Amino acid sequence: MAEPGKPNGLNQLRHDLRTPLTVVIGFAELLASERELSDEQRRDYAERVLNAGLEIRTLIDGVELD
Amino acid sequence: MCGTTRETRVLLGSADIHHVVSLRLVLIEDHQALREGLELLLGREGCQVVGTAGTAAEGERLVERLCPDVSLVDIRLGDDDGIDLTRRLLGNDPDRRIVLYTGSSDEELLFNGLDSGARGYALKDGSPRELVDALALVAGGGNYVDPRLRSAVLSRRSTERFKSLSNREREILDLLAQGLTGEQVAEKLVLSAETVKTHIRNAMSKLEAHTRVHAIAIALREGFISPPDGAGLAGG
Repeated sequence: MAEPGKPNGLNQLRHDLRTPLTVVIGFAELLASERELSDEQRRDYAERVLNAGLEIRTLIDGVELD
Repeated sequence: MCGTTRETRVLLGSADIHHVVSLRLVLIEDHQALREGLELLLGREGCQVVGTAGTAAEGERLVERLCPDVSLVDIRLGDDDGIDLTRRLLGNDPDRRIVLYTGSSDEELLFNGLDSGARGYALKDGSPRELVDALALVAGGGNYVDPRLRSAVLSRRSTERFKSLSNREREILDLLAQGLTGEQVAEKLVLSAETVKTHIRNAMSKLEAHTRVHAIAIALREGFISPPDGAGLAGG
């Protein structure tokens, strides 16, 4: 988890945000481009997008603004 | 120590590679969803992900055992450090091809990563296709730095003065930065491979670089060579 108050905290935060963001973009691309996904795969990928989105929200909520 | 029989078949000749036939890859990433996502996405792009790991220790064992064509290593592996892991892996076998993967565009991290001997440095901002191209380039003997980091490489304030490079050394580094391998440079300049290696070694020594890609980065930063057009900084 990022620690924005510490040295290099912003860089750590950027890394921590980009990791789940890459998940969101990657699985959203799969959902958009793959025509032959099963219902189970669609649900699985959508859940991954959702969970990564929630992780991003948690990270953003944890940022302290002075 | 891994053998030298690599199965990778990559069409080289420029930094723009889109013809990966078979690329054996070990993926080391602590974020489970991203690890699984990359396995899927890179598989769709033609990579054969032969092993995945969520920790440095597990990743080290996998690379030692599976001898992949290239390994993708997240820089921040929870409490572990992907750069330290890279140093250990290359300490055991300097020929290993490693691409560091990070969400941070921090300049110091970039240069620490390049100092570790990794041949590639890719950002999580990139698309799966870009990542596969980077992996293929490195697996084929080249080097790669994400193009989004070009400004960081170019703008880093120099605190040291380097000995000037000869015209031949500049010419060779310039060709490496365009994506040519050492052998291709030798062929293009009608030189022996050994002579090219000597020029590269001398340039690295003058630039105090530990790796070819580090030498390219410093040469760009110091203005010895011009940035290549198009994709990431690359060199064989």
